Amino acid sequence: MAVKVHEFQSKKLLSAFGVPVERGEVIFSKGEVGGAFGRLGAMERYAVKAQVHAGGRGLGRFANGLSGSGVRLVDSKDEAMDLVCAMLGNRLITKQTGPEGAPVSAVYVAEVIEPMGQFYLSIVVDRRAQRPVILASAEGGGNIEDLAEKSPWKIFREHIIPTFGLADFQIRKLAFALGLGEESLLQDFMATLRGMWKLFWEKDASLVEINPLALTAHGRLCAIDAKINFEDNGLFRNEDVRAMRDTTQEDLNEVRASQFGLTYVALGGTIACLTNGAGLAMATMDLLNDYSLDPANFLDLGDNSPQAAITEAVKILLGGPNVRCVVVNVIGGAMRGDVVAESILEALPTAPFHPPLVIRMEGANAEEGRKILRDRIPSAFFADGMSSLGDKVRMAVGR
Amino acid sequence: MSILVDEKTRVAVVGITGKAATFHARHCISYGTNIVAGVRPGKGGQTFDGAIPIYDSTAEAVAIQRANAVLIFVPPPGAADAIGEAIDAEVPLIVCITEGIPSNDMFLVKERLLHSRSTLIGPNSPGIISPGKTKLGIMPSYIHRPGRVGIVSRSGTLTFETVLQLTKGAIGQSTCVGIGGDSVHGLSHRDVVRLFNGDPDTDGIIMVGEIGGEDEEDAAEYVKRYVKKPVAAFIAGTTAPPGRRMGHAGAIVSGKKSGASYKIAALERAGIAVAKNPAHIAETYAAVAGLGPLR
Repeated sequence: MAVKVHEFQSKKLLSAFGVPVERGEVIFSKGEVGGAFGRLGAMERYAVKAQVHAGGRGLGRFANGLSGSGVRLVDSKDEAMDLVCAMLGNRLITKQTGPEGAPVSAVYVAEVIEPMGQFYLSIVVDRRAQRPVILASAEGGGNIEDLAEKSPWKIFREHIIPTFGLADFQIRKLAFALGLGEESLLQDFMATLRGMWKLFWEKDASLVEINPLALTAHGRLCAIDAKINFEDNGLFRNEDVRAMRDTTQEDLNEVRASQFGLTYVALGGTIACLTNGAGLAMATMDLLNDYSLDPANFLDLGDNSPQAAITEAVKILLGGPNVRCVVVNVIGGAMRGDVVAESILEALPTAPFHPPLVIRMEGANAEEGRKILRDRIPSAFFADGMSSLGDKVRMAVGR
Repeated sequence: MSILVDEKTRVAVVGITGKAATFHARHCISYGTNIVAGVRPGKGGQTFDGAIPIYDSTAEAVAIQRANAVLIFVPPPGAADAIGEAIDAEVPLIVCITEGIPSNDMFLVKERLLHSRSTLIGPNSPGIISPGKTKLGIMPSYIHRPGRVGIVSRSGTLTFETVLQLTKGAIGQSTCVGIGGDSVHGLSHRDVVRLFNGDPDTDGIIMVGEIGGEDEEDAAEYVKRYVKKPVAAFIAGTTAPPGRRMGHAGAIVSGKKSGASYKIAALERAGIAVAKNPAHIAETYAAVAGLGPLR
């Protein structure tokens, strides 16, 4: 999983790395509104944007009272100030948040830029080339996946050799391809790409995306919307990135699991899965779907988790709202079956109710683990492989 | 014969004094792996379990004990450095188990690898095993059975799953290679398939992949052109909710359609038998290899 940050954080970071962004202020509380608008100064129009991680803000709606979407353009300062106050503390519902919406604890107010042209720029990992790559297009502003599928020739690529860094000739090559080769624009374009690359490299980002990069009426470039993701693997050396994480935007159980170093994704079904390794976790999910059984979650215990983490994972699974069955599918390399079994036993008394258990256990100390569970949980079902797992789950849920 | 390793492979374990490394080094030794040295800067001159000499550097382990493979357990902040040190010492085979190395560190490792004599397996890999001969990794030993099927996989536990199914069906394995789950890594599916194709003691190949990336498609292209041996595959994550695992921009790099169904179609076009369900990996292989129904 990658760490996501808010728009205002992305803009602040980009700006710190020399990328031109529009004037803007972030506001966390009603008490800050006056000061923030004072710093912004008089503007013709104001963009008022609710800060949530979910996409589709411009088409979203608020949970209580406020009409309009999560991104509003207004003409007067008073109207903008009222909007900020109404958005703060509200919940924004978009197609990505689910019906409960996401809490709005920050609002970003920025100047409105009328773009004369919109461009797309990003830096991502090209897995096939095993190098970072810049993707650039003169047709920004829209959905880049659609463009990649319909007109791939409109996306230009430039690989970066990290030992050399991003060279000026590469930036010029892209500038000419996008029609931004004019001397006055080239300065901004250079600053933009150099800043994006520096940010990608120094902060261990997995995605730095500007869409759109706007050409303004004054002949300048400006990042109007940006998205930055950070790689989990780089967090140990980027404390500032860790501090940007906003856990109020995330699923409570996903946060709980991540505090124990586990990967957990809620899926909304009824069959909870305790598995180790991303591959086996996915395969278990695939198997359940093949049996028309709905997985409640994706969980990767890893192979090195301490007992406390496994116990926590079982507690999370048992606390799920619609769980009708818990599937344990573990093949331990280093992770011992007896430790998994003890973790399950430790978590069980805390559960509000006790759904049936289906256990498939192989690997290190699997026999010991199975014996402990067989002795202590006589009602548990045991599967001796993937092939009988689906049938056992069906039996357990009475289908 | 087997690919990349055999009973004569002389292994140095890097980071041998760590908890996980100690645990797995002992299991490797009891499996018969020829571990000739440990490496841990600052602990040179000591021994591991009273028998295996520990050196301050990989270069010393190579010079003094003639190690020709390293098994790396160094934690993420120093793991890429340990790989670099092994490349510098011209170790032919580098197996990196470490999970959690930043991609940026791996980009630099990849540039170093380009002009080297080393082959890298991993990182974030369960390692490599040639059943009955040697294992350099963290896989449970008992599930394996010596034989003639080669396995290449991105996932550790799914490799174990595949092995369990094969062994249960009395089908042995020549070599099992876990290439690791990270996006920047050493050997690819295609590289390992090529090695299996050239190995006279491997009769058929099982490829275990995942959604995301194009490693499996590249391997399929190779299979289509060059491989006459039976090949079966399983792709995990076909029912994963879109967008949760695969990054947003990852798919647009190639400009090709992504998603499990396209990946499976590419494999099938290459004549690879793709198991529809993770319980049927061995069965699918047995059918395509003409081994008849499994026991």
